[in-house]
Amino acid sequence: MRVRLEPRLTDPSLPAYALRVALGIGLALALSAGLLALSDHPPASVLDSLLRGAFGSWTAVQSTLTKAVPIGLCAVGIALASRANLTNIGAEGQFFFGAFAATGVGLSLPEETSHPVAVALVLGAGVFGGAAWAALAAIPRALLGMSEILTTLMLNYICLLWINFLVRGPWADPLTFSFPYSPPILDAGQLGPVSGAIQGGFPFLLIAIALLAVIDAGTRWGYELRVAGDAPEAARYGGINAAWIVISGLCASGALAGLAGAIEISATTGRLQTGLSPGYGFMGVLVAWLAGGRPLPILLVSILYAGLLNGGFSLQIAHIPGAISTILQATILVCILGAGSLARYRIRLVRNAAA
Amino acid sequence: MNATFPVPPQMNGITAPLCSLVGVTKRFGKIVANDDVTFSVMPGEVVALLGENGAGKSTAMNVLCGLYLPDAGTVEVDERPLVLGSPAASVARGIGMVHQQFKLVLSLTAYENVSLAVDRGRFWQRKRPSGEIERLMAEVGFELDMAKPVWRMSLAERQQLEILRVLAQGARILVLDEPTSVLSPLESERLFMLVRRIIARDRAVILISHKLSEIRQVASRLVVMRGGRVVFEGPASGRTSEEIAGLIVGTRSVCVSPRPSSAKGPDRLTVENLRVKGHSGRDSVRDVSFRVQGGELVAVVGVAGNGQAELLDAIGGQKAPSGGRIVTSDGRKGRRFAFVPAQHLGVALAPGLSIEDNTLLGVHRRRPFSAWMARRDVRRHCRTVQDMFGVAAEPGSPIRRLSGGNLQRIVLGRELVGDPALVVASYPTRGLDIAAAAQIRNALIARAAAGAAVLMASEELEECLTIATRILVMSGGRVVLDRETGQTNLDEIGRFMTAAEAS
Amino acid sequence: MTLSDPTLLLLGAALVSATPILYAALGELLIERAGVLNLGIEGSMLVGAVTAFMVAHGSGSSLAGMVCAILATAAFGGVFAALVVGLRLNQVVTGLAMTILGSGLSAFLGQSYVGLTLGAAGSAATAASGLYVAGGLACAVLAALFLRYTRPGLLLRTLGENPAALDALGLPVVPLRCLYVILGSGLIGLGGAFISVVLTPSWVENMTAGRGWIALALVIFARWRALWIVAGAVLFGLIDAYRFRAQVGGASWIDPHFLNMLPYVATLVVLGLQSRRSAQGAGTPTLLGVAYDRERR
Repeated sequence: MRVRLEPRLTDPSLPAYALRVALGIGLALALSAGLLALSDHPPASVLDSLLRGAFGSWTAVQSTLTKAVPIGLCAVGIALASRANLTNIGAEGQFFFGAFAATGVGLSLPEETSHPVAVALVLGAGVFGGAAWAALAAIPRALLGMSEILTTLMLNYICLLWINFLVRGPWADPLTFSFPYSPPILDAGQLGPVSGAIQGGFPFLLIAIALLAVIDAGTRWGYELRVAGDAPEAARYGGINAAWIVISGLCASGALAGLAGAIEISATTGRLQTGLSPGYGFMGVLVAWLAGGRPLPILLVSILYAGLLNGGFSLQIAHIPGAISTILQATILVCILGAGSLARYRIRLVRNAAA
Repeated sequence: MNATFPVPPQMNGITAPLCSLVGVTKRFGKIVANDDVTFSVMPGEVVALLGENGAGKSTAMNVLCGLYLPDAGTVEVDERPLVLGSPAASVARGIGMVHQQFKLVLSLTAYENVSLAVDRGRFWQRKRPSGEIERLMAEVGFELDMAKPVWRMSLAERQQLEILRVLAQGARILVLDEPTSVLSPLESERLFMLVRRIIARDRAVILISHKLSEIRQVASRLVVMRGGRVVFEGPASGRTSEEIAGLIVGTRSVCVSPRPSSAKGPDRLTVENLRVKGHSGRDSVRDVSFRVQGGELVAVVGVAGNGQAELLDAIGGQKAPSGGRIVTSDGRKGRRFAFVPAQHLGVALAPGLSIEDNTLLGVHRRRPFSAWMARRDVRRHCRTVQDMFGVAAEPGSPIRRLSGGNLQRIVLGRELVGDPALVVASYPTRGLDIAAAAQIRNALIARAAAGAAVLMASEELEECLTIATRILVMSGGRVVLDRETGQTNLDEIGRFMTAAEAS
Repeated sequence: MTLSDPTLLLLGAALVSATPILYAALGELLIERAGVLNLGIEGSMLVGAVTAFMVAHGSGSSLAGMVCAILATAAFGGVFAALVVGLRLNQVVTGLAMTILGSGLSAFLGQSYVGLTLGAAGSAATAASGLYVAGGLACAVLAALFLRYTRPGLLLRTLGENPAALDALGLPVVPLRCLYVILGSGLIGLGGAFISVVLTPSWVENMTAGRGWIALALVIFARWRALWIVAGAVLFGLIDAYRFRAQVGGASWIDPHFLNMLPYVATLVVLGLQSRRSAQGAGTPTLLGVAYDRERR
């Protein structure tokens, strides 16, 4: 008996796909419940406190939406790069470099700068910083054909070390003693909440999602991204400057991650610190993939993912290991991916005939 | 013609078939690629497997080789059933296929590639071929440097290596998938001699080809497929090319419109002292000058690899010339004339994108499109291109699922939108089935008749003599003959084509 | 010139801190040569580290810990193989998910072991550290010989470059890829185990501290060649040992953060230099990260 996977040429229908994804989530929950039961934590109560921590109260929802902003922005950027077949797993580094640039501007602006100008400059610096860090991978990719997967990955760690160096060295805040924090940026550069409740960065996420939808709907740039990503030779044949497209696509992707970093500085922490991101850039990869790169699902999935993350923190308060949430993240992801793959293939069992 | 012909008695009925496909059916989603395919192969014969692109020949062969698992049906080798869907089983039972895209590992040496196939069960890797391989090479008359890495070998050498490897595995049924598409006429001739030597030892060859002349030359029996079914099976002897073509395309008529009249218009393309460097870094186009006027259909011919492809690529802007100049009728920036490159998927078409996206390639920077490409305009444009040669397919489906003929129809349709005054087409009918090729030829003739200048490269001399008004023969990177079609003939062209080889 | 004592000490320390990365990079080499990009390497090392510590602590035998770490990580790699080779999931995304899973699982399993020591088993393991170091070097030499001179090695080289060629010859692409992912993961797990049992006999959450990513960088730095991995790992170990000494001794001519950047920067430089050459014969598995799908059309 052998098992074979054969590709289906037609895309699965929506109900069929939804059914498989639901099965995937069910399997993930069952696996996690098994693990919990083995370690003497009643699965039902863990799930309950997880959900409460994520969406159970207005404060929880606010906090979840706040975390959805960096995850979603990174995911939109990653989805944008994937239009050109570019795999940007460097959003984490671009996020931090954007945060670095934003902090740099926020620390050096004179105190009397007006609020809108200061916020615009701080966020603009983040956009620019993220794009610049992405350019370090984009230019070698466009001109030398260096794999952007490997370069963006390496650049992550270089950037993290750079931030570490800054907050422990030249930018260390003498007032925070041994904590690796920079001094706070100017007050005028801080982005306040929208209508008093939702984090100021959330509108930026909505704008980014809308932009992605517009790019897909019928811009020439979006079209050229698709061609350049699919077949560079065909791009040249069609009069498309593939190098420019690769550079602009990857830099735009980095710019969004950089914006996310700047928003964290400007709207959440107010200062640069090493714990600024619990891996938002990597979560962005997973979210973009789970959402199939489509704009609206990215919004939904990033909010759900942020909820899972938040719920994990509230577990720790309830003396349940927060690692459960991490395990749950990974199993759900793997199960949904697996279910998606099964929707694209058909499984055939083959009985071996005697030869 | 829908009747299935009975299998004629073979070799006075004593010999058992070497292998047979019985009722093989293979579906890909909703597409039925093979529908109840049944035929057999006798020892000592060359079976030509014929059919248009997408008729199911390759699918049937992939089933035979174990790469595809059929949904129904069986395959028998020596009258015993074969385990399906297992390449290992097919290899073990003596089936060997030389794929159109060679399955060689480029970074390994020739010997290491053969070794992958034959040295099963060894642990230490040998560095030089065993005596057995050398005997086999002598038997089939190959002279290959087995220590050479494959990426440094020519296409003909790679093909020999593939054949050698398949034979070394002990193949008795050899499947050759369009083997001459990468070969020059001389190399093809050598290949057919080899095929005759191979079948002399009770082996059999299944040959997939579109070239009717070579089928008549080597095949002993024909199996014709259409729409996934076997529609004819019978001896090859005594059939004319026209008859075979009729079997392949069925009832549809195939006729080529008459050659355009030679009323000439203004110069549309001028090439002066053009030089283009080839892969090896040497000039593959040397000092070529010619003009093409409106109303002309000029065919560039020559033995493969004498600079024709590079010449057309340079004119089309795919390759930068190293000297000389190319002047087209409009001096504006960017290509404004039709160009059909030799390779459609990957160059003229982006394989992963939809049909709709592909109909826009290159056109997307012209009116009515701007930085914003309105859905309405895109839809209308796609319909125009599809309707040009009647490609019925969902605009949103991936282009790579179209057959070769339809791919070329999309490319040419897109390029001919807006009635360009100059059409440059590199091997536009290569690999196409008869109906598609005729349609493409007619479109080129129609363009020339409407006053456009047409320049095409082709490897089929008869095609050129039928449709072209002028012939350019290239040899060693130079144009060695430039004649109106009426003032030359096949013999003369052949002589000039091989002139450089002789000297 | 005779080797002074401090130099020898430095070299010894360098070899010890290079060893976990050497094992992990060799494992990753096998996996990548087979055409699979394993971004789950950091997670695999953590699984190896926590298993080794738990077993060594429970049984009092560091050797048992090492063996169980190899087995557990191989199983972990088996899951990854099933997903990316079997189900053909995207390798980048699945790899990242495996890293998250590995860090979550190890944190979960190891929570009650934080702050414990190995006692006698730990000191025995530290005493035997030379053996593990030598084992890593031996593995590298064996891997180099295997790739260069054996038929399975030839198959492995082909696996990452042209799996379709192997498939057409009737050689088992999917099982072979799975085998190398599992074998390689076992080696990666051994690297993780070395950290928790020999290097710092203790367990802390995320204690591999990015060594997996350094190993990944090393494989590229070494242009997918086993012996170059040894050179890269020793170089890294020297940097590490120098940094440690500088921290203890006070002054350093350069901030340690920049020293830590060195492996990544060096990898980027090597990637850049390599991309200028022809891909052929450079040792890069050209189909790295691409799932093999026989009937794709």
